Amino acid sequence: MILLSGIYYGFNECKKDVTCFITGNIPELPEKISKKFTVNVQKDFKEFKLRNISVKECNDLLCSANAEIELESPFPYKIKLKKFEVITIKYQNGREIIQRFYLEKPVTIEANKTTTLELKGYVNREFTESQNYKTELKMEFEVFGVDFEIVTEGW
Amino acid sequence: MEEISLLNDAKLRGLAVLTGILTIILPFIGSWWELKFAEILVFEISPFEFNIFALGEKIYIPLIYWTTYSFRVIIVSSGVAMVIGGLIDRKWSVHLLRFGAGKIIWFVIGMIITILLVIPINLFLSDIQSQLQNQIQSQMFFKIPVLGEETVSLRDENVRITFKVASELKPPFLLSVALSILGVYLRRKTKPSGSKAEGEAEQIV
Repeated sequence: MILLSGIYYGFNECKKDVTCFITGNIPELPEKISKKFTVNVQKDFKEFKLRNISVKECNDLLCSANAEIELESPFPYKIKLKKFEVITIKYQNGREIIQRFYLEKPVTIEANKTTTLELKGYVNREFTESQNYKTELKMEFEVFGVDFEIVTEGW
Repeated sequence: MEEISLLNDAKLRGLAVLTGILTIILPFIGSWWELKFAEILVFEISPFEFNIFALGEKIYIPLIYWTTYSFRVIIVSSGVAMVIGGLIDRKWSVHLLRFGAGKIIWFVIGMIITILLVIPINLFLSDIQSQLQNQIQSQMFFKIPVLGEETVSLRDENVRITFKVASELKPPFLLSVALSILGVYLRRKTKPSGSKAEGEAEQIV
């Protein structure tokens, strides 16, 4: 009797609409979630540039360096950036000239905020940006307990 | 087997009151079983609450809400019945106690059946996954663990997505199992013995 009364009360709460009673707020969810969760990794995460590159000690052609990068999170939730690595490779006289910058430790990026990441790495004194080079981006982040590992490259 | 009259056994009455109090508390101490698909889809399930969160948004289904709400009322009533049955010396005390003590075990059985539903769901999932593999070369293969953790990994050209599916029984479930054992024990010990039990009760009244 208690069970029937409860169900009857709930049914009346829904103004005797069976669909409302059985589905509740499920029909509204896709719109709510899509509003909150519009992610375009291609667009939002790839538009970045290394800046404020400060060269420190040099050992022959390789110099340790720091750099900054501005990253805007496309997620409306906190994300944990576990790995972020930018490698630039230039092929010159059959040799690879490599520069590499990486995130030293994981960083939490707040929802929809632009964060400046401080990267460590090294530059190569032979490397000149005027020539064509390949950029590899390796990124690993966690959002809602899901780990995304992205590897992209472009010229 | 010797029948024990509840009204003459102080220990049994104390046990009834304790079981009753814990039964009243039980619906308010959280879910019994948790099933998580990373943090994307979270199920917090007990007979008294059924919470589903999809990307942090709580799903509200009146049918489920009011059913679990009714179960909450039923179990609290059972607890109150056990407490009253254990505290008050009346002819009807045994019946009240037996009414309360017999309820929890049904909720525990219901919960175990719900958890075991994962097995047919897994069969259905593996069927869908093998069909998907034929159609789109999907790399996704996973089973929902009845208890424990399973790592799911999806790979596309440049992206790899990894998440965990975890199923866990929570402490309130263990309490409910303990309470159902106590309930069955109390019911057995207070089994009405026809005229004998009634006679004993009448003597005390």
